[in-house]
Amino acid sequence: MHAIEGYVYPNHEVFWGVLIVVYPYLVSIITGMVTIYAISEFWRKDLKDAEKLILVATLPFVLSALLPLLLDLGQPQRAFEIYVTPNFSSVMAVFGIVYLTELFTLLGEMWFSFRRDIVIYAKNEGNSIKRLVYRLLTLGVYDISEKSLKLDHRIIKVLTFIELIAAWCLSYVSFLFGVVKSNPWWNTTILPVSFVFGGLAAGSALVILVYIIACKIYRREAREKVVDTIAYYLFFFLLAAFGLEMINTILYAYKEDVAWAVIKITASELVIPQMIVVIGSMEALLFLRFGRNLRGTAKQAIYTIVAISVLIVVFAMRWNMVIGAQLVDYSLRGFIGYSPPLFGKEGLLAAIGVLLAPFAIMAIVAYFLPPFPERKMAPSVTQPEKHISVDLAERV
Amino acid sequence: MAHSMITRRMFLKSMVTAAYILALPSTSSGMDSVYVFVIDSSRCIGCGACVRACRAENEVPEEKYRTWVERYVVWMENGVEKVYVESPEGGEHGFDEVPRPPNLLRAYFVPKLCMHCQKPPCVKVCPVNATWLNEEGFVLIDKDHCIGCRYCIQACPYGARYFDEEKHVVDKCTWCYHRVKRGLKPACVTVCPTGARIFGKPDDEVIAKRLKDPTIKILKPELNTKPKVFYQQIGWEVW
Repeated sequence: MHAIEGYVYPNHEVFWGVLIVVYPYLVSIITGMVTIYAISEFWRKDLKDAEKLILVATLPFVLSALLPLLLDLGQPQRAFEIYVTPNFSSVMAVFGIVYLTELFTLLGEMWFSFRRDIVIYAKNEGNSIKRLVYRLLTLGVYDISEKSLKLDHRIIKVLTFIELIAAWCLSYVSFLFGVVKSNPWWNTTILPVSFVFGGLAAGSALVILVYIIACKIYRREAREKVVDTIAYYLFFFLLAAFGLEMINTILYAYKEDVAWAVIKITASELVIPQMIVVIGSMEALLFLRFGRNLRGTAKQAIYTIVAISVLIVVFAMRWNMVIGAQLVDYSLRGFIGYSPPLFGKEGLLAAIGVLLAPFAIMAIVAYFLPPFPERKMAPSVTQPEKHISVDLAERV
Repeated sequence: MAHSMITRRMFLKSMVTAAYILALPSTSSGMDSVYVFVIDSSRCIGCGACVRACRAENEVPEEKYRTWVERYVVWMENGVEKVYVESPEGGEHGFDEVPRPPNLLRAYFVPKLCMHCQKPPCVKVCPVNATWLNEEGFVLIDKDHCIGCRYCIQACPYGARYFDEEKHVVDKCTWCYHRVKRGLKPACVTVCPTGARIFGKPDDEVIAKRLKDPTIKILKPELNTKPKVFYQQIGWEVW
């Protein structure tokens, strides 16, 4: 039994636990990663080195995004009903369609991006099982002529555009909360906007982190231009997300209406996540501002700290949004406490498992589709242009 | 070929006919066919018989409530009205006496239940159409279809829905639809010793008279949910 302050309706409890914090968190990360990929595809060619890695890293997050929802459902075996008997006035039902759009455009994008590599592996791979996998992945198309690769690239651009829209629409998951007009915490116009910027920040931070770690694993040098460019965007995304969150809180404080009276009390339950948001954001912004002046390992270390900080900050923002809002009773006369259970399908361990699942899937995806294939094909990574694998590295 | 062609005259004629049919008022969805609930809080004595009857009739799990009773105590302090609200165990076992505050203005009981809104936010958010508003104005749940996402619980501003931990689906007050279909009144209405709860159609004599009371109120009107539970004799402090 959780602590109760003031009066709450007898049926009131925290109905959506830590898993529903993880759910919009994963969705946020997807939005950010896809946006960075689109920036690379359309505007910043200096991010080319991380392009395939972003795709390899995004797919596991998209595949895992439904996991927390499924675990949270009372009747998960009926989840497919969202597609069979959808109620299109429900944000959750529409989310199902947006999710599938995102998944299929990403799969298409990956196939066209890796098609050339897949064909080469299908022809040259020594391991018979892997060769079979690659042959299946070719879908029977072995044409990697200059002309067909040019067409591939045009298709990738179209798919990236569609995927970018789908990813931003995925952030529309915040409307899932925003449309609940009875909850003063969710019922604000700022929420969807701050949600998107929080997602952009988290996704950018994850790309930096994965890029630095992947470069270490593949024993190649992380290009400063790549991390600097993403860090540049991350600074503004985080600034916007943090600024909007603060504006929202200050507005509540200033208006001092009935809802604020309860939220003020609830703030005592949310001191820790609030502090994480404020201190973490300021620390990350400061490091991002001065990280550019550093070089080599120091820069990587600073950016790694920033990336981890931003990921924690955005998680705390999601915690405040999902859990914080539910602490307030709809009678607006009291609030309840919440501490997640450790075990069970809605417990902390399950949530940690869901958060780690994308990284486990990422290892599998990267095993079959190496994001830096030149190393696989060539003995040296420092001067790939001198090797036969150059055509793999320099996609059309 | 010429005979099978639709002339402009025929086309316009059929359009006018279709527009006329669409513009006709629907008789089946008129307000007279739906049920409403009227609660006179001045008659409620907070005995909790309604909550107990509801639990027995509908096998409501322990610590969950399809209906509950709240007590309001309002007093004056420095020119400001102070409000104390409680509902111990949903008022199921009645209420203990509370110390009488100085400058007491009013104290009364308010039964609460699903409002069976005409614009139910719970129905709007259900992703699989497992909950719906029927022609008689009942908001019902198909428990064999509910996926247990709890979105409807979040959307209900009246706290009327709960999660059945045993069946892993959402549940709530149905105004005892199964009884009403057999010509009976809801269990809570039947057992109320003071007649604080009245159930029927808006044109029923007693209900029509009560609805004419200019002090009658609905809860949280600003949310535009159009609830069909009407309250008599409650103060501003009830929402």
